[in-house]
Amino acid sequence: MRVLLVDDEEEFVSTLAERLSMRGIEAVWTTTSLEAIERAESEIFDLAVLDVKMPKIGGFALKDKLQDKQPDMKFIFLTGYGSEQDFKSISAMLGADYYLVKPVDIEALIDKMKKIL
Amino acid sequence: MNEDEDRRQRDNSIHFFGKVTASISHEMKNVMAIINENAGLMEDLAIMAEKGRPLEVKRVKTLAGKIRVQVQRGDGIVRNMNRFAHSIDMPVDLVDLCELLELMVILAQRAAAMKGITLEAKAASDKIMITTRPFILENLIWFCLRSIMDSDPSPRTIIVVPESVLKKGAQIRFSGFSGHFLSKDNTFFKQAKEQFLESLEGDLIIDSVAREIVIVLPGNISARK
Repeated sequence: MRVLLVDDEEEFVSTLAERLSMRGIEAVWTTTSLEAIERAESEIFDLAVLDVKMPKIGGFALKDKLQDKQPDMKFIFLTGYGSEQDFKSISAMLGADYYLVKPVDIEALIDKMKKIL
Repeated sequence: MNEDEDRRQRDNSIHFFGKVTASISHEMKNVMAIINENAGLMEDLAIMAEKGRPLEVKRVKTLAGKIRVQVQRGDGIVRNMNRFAHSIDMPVDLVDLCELLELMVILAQRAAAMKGITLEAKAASDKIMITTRPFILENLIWFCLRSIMDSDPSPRTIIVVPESVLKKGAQIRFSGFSGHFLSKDNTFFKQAKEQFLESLEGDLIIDSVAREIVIVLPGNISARK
């Protein structure tokens, strides 16, 4: 499984990538949507984990851009909303089926990754 | 103030309070997410050590240090949230305008960063003390910052400067946006006057040559009543 992690909090995204790698998941991380788009031009990913709120290009807009380049790529969104329930109505509106609320439980994240692929 | 205006101002205040606290809570969630990952990584390393892999003490120390940095960051966020929450305590109060302005710039920082905008609060050489309605003034500053941030073309840097006006009071100068915003967005000025400036007994000056908006505030709001 090859995963692209995108979040503007470097400390968060780099540590999450390391922990996923320890569990046998190849995780590549970036802190900007632009860098994520660049990487998707030259590398294939099975799945992307995207923060919803990021500078300039947020997670939902980034999903569209990544999907243009790699139509088979799957997506999980991370949000700073208070609870998954709070985020449910917004995510349903925007067509996001898989999402997790920060702080992330790594085992729950891996479960969702396995379900989606 | 009639009943409709009173209700509108209350709704507006609740909306403003909600927006600010939502932004703060998102930032706190990020802090907790980083602490969670670093603690999780320490746990992962401990589990691996139990299985026989040597534990790198230096690495554990580094992770503990990262957690401490985030705790300090979180403490700063909560401290600012507390300052903001207490600004409702007194409807009219003597405030340090520079401190109030600095707080609002900090609170708007995340919203600005999302749009790739830098906010800069210039410091005044001396304290500027005015008696005003702190919460309504904060709401007005937030309203100005958000309106400028949402303007097209989007500014790169918004500069906010507090100034003392001899014997009159104080003013807050906003600059760094395009002239287009000043000439087109009449609703901004109408809203600012109706929703905030009447209560603050203040005024809004548009300097289209310098491309600046200036909020003018009395030194003592109650003294003018």
